[in-house]
Amino acid sequence: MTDLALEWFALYGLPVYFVMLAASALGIPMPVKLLMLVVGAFVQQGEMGFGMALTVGSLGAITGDQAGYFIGRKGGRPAINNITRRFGGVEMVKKAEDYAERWGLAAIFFSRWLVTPVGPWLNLLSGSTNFSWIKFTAVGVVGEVIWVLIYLLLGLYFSDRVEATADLLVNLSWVIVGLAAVMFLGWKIREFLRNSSTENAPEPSR
Amino acid sequence: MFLRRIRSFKLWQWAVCAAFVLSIAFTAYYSYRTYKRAEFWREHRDQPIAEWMRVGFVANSYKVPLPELNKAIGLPPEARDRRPLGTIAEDQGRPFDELKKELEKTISDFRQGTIPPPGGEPR
Repeated sequence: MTDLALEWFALYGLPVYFVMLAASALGIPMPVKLLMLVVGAFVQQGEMGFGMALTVGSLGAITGDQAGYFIGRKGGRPAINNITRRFGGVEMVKKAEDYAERWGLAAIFFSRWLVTPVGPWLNLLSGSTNFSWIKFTAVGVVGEVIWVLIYLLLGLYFSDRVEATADLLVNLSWVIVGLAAVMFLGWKIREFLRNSSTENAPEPSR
Repeated sequence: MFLRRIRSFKLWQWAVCAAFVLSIAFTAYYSYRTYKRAEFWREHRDQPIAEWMRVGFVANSYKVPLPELNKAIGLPPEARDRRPLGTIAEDQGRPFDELKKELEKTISDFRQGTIPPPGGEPR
C-alpha cells in the first residue's frame, strides 16, 4: 500500500498528494507522514516548490477536515436526535456539547498537528455536536498548516533518511497519544478523588 | 482515607482507572518501540531502493552522483528523469529487480572508490 501510494505520487505528483491528505483527514489509513517527508525531500532536490507543496498539502488536509465535519453534521446530528427522541439522554448530549464548546478549540488545534491519530474522530464529533463551524475552520487551518510545515521541513532536513524519519515519527505520534490519554485520565481520577472526599466530608447544614 | 475514597468508586470510575493503567502500558510499549526502531535505523542508514523512488532521490539518499546512476541504468548522464524507477524498468521492458541490482552495484562501486567522485581522484 505504502509503495503503491508513493509510486502514484512519483508519477502524478501534487494531485495525488492532495487526495491522500484529504483522505487521511477523513480517517482513511494513508502513509501521509512518509508522503509529506518524501515531498520535503523532493523540494530539497529541486523537483518541487516549497510554497506549492505547503499550499497543496494544507488544502488537502483542510478539505478532508471539512468533509469530516459536514458528514458529522449531516449524518451524526440527526442520528443523535433520533436516539434522544427514542431513548432520552438529552441532558447528556447537552453536557457533551457544553464540554466540546469549552475544550473543543484546544482539542481541535492539537489534534491537527500533535495528537494526529484522533483528528478524524474529532472532525466527526465537532460536526455532530454542532460545534461552531467558524471556530472549527479557523483553528483547523492554522493547525493543518503547522502540521504540513513541520513534516515538509523534516523532509527537507532528513531528505536522505525519510523512511527512518517517518518510521520514528509514526511511533512517536502514538507515544504522544498515549501521554495525552494518561494526562486526561489521570486528571479525571484526581477529580473523582476530590469529589469523593467532599461527598464523604460531614455537612452540618444538610 | 485514600483507600476508602477508592473503594467508594462506581463501576464506570473503575473503568476510567483501568483505562488509565492501559494507557500507561500503551505509552510504555510505544516508547520502547520508538527506542528500538531508532536503534535499528542507526545501524541501517540506507533506505532500500524501492519502485516509487526517482533516480535523483536514490542519488540523494546514497550520496552518489546522479550521472553515475543514470549511466548505470541506461539513461543519459545529465538527465533529470522524473519517472519512478518501477516505471523506468517497465518502459525499458525489464524486471525492476534487474535495475535495482545495477543501481546497488554502482552505489557499492562508488563507495569502494572504484568510481571516482565528481571532479576528483578515486578514493
